Amino acid sequence: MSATLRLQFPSDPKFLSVLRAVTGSVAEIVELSEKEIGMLKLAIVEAVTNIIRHSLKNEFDHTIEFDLVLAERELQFVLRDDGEAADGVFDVQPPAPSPDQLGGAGLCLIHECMDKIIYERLPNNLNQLRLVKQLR
Amino acid sequence: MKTSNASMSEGVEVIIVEGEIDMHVSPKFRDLLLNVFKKKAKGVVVDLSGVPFMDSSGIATLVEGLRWSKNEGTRFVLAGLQENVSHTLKLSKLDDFFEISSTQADAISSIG
Repeated sequence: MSATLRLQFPSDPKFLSVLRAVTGSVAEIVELSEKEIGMLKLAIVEAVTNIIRHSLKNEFDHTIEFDLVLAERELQFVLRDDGEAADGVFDVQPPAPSPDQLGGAGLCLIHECMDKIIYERLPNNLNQLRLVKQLR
Repeated sequence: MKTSNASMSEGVEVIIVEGEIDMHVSPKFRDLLLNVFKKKAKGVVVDLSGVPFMDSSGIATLVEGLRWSKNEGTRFVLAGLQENVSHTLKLSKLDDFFEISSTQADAISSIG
């Protein structure tokens, strides 16, 4: 089965619950376990939170595009935003956080939950973040 | 997210949180937690049995609670973590820094 769902939503954290609901519903279609579904929801929330905080500087009036691509052997979440470039941010998993050094905790969680993370700065000056989960 | 706070006779403050915790609601959770720590109780219990999802903003709030508890000499115990939230804490590698009890009652008695 192959399918793509496309969603546009404001960069307002109140819409994070909608993303969780959509992600959870699609993950159920491909019969992922509750634990895997929880990890996908966590990854997408952390990725969008990162975009809102860092790329969009907590401005809630931008538009974020969200493609959920369901392919034969993988599930992809593709996020696009018009904020500041994030070159290098997603390349490596940051060190595990500690109570004294919490920075990068969200990034760490994305790396823990997804199989591949691919960031690109597109020619039209949009950021594109692709999160990939292999399906077994 | 819904929250409530009760003062127990054992000198323990209990915060009950219900609903998902993310960037949208974690400031409200943080405000409540901070206000409860200001009461300078013997212990603070956060009952998370009604929380099916928590992201790093929620974890960051709990870590702030950990810091406040050390500053105030207050015990800080998390209770009733659902499997998903427990797994998120493990993934963050921060689970070992918290006192965690299975139930609110266990958490209260561990402080008492």
